[in-house]
Amino acid sequence: VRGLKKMHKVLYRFVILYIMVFVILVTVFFNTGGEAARPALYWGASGSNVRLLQWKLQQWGYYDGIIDGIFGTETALAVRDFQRKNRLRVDGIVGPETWAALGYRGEVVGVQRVAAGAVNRNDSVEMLARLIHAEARGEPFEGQVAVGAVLLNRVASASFPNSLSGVIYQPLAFESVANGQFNLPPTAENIRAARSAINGWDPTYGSLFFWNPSKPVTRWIWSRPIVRRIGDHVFAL
Amino acid sequence: MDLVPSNSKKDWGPCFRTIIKGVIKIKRKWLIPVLIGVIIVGITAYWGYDQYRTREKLEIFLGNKYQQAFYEMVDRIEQLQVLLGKSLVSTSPGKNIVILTDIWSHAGIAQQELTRLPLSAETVSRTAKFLSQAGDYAHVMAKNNAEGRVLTDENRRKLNELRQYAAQISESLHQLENQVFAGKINWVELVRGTGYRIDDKKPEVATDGFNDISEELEKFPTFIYDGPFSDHITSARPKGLKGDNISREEARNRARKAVDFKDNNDIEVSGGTSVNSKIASYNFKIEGDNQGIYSIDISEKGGHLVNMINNRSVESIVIDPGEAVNRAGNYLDSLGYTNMEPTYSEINENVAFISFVYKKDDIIFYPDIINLQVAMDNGQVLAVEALSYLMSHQEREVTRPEITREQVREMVGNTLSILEEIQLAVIPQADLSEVLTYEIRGKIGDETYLIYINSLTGAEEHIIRVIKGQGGTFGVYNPDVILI
Repeated sequence: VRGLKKMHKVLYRFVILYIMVFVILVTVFFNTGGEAARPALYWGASGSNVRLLQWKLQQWGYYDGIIDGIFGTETALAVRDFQRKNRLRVDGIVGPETWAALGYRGEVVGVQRVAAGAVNRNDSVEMLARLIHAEARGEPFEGQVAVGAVLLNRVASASFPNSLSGVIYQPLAFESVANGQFNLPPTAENIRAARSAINGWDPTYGSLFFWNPSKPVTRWIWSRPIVRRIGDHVFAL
Repeated sequence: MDLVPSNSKKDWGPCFRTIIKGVIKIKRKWLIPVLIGVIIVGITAYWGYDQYRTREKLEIFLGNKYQQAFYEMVDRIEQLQVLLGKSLVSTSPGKNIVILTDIWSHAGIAQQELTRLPLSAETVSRTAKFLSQAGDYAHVMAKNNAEGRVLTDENRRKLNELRQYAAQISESLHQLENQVFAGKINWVELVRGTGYRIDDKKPEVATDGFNDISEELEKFPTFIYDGPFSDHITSARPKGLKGDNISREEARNRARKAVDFKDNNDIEVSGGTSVNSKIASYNFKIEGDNQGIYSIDISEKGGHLVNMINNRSVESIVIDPGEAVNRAGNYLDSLGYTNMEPTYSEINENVAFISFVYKKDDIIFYPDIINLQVAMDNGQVLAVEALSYLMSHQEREVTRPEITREQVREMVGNTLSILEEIQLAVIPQADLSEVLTYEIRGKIGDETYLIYINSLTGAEEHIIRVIKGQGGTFGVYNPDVILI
């Protein structure tokens, strides 16, 4: 009887452990986003998030006022200064980008960014830079410009969608868009590569395709006339 | 024989009771774990079912999106075919313009919806190209009509050809549509990439359908007309390459001359691989001390610098923009690109992007454009792009303008205030042809525009809105704002 009781205890512990693991797994599964949502902050806001912002800005030397949790003129100036130095949109609003630059990722609720005009060239640079980041990370700079150029060549081509977003989001076109890597923020180098491509640099001379020859690709793609190889990518018309 | 039942009754009774007692005893001890186990299994099952339901819902949602794109496309191509037929019978220029712009619109949407289907570029590109060209051709025809040039017999022949192919595509698509109705095509399967499955033939139906259409379209002849999607655009040959073919060694020397290092003469040129492009070139790599890696393309014919890129990051702005422009201009001179005028510049990430265009006899030639990047910390030329210049530059016979500056001033003076002196400029058209125009820089409200007026006919060729960036100006060459 005693032996049975002991077994019962062991089993009991095992079950509790199982439940804990299960709960943790479920929690992790549903919260893959990571940290809690941070609200967008702007002039006039107050609270613990503002305090956090002020503390962070003070640590990095942008803010030398008191940490009082009130978003006033001094905080706004510090935010603008921070945004300028980090090449963010200088608007004094702590939105998703600024939070991310401060080291806090996560969903941001509230204030929506307003597009600054009908023709937004910066949006194209940003989109292109993201795709370059996702598809050509670790490639030489020239290879990054080349990937950007292929995208723009597709926009200009009759055989592909006639807008940048159309080309980027064309189904089955880019693996990095399908697996969500496209949503990662680009680096300064990616942005310069994107800007170079938009300003006319095309090391691929009109190529419409690029692929990594060490990875499996459809046989059809090898029938395209190859222009050159840059880094790990082959570029073809 | 009669002993057996009495025996069994005697033996089984107590035995059975002990077993039941034992079970109850065990049950009481195991009750909580078993209950917890049941709850866990229940939660897991519910969670799994919920996941399954959510996935199913999303799949249906996605499938519907694709289905909608497909039906939309079929409908638009049907309309396209009907409208192409109408364009053949209509003789009124006004009505023709309406029909032709409708064709343009339907073809554009059909192309857009087609490229939203989960099919590979290999499968859809031929059909997409046909739709782009059909729409583009109609657009050019509409523009011609608006300028008073009515459809010629040749135009009608081409429209008829487009109509016949559109009808064929429409027919094939209706067959495919029947398969969709019959539930034989599951678009989501195409996304999931179940191409490896042998038993499930569903995805192949759609791919095969479009491959058949592509095959049909292979018979569609090379389509040349004066629009941006004409086949002659991609097959254009360079006009600006002068001189004989040079050797790889000679090209290596030219590459060495092209680099703009500061105080660093001991440079090593590596590479020399061939670039198999419309301007056949050699590619070299040159690395300097803390001055980045240059990648340089030198053309085989003539040994021109076609493309140069350096990735050095620039941390500060030391020199002023005027100096950067001067340095860039001198650099171009030293390479033999003379008579180049700076037009636009912009500073981003401490790098100045400067565009130069060819100028001769007070006429600006916009097709002959060379772009440069100059580092704002020491004035080093980081990047050069001369592809457009080498494709278009040649000695041209420019016809004398028939309209005077005064006439131009009268034409545009009412709508905007003219900022600078009106000058002559040759601009490239969508079909790569060139036209001599007057360039007028003017302002309306806060916005600056560039207007280009044909020097022979007085027609407005282009309108460009100038946008001031943080570090300079650039033109927004947006086809949407072109006036016909």
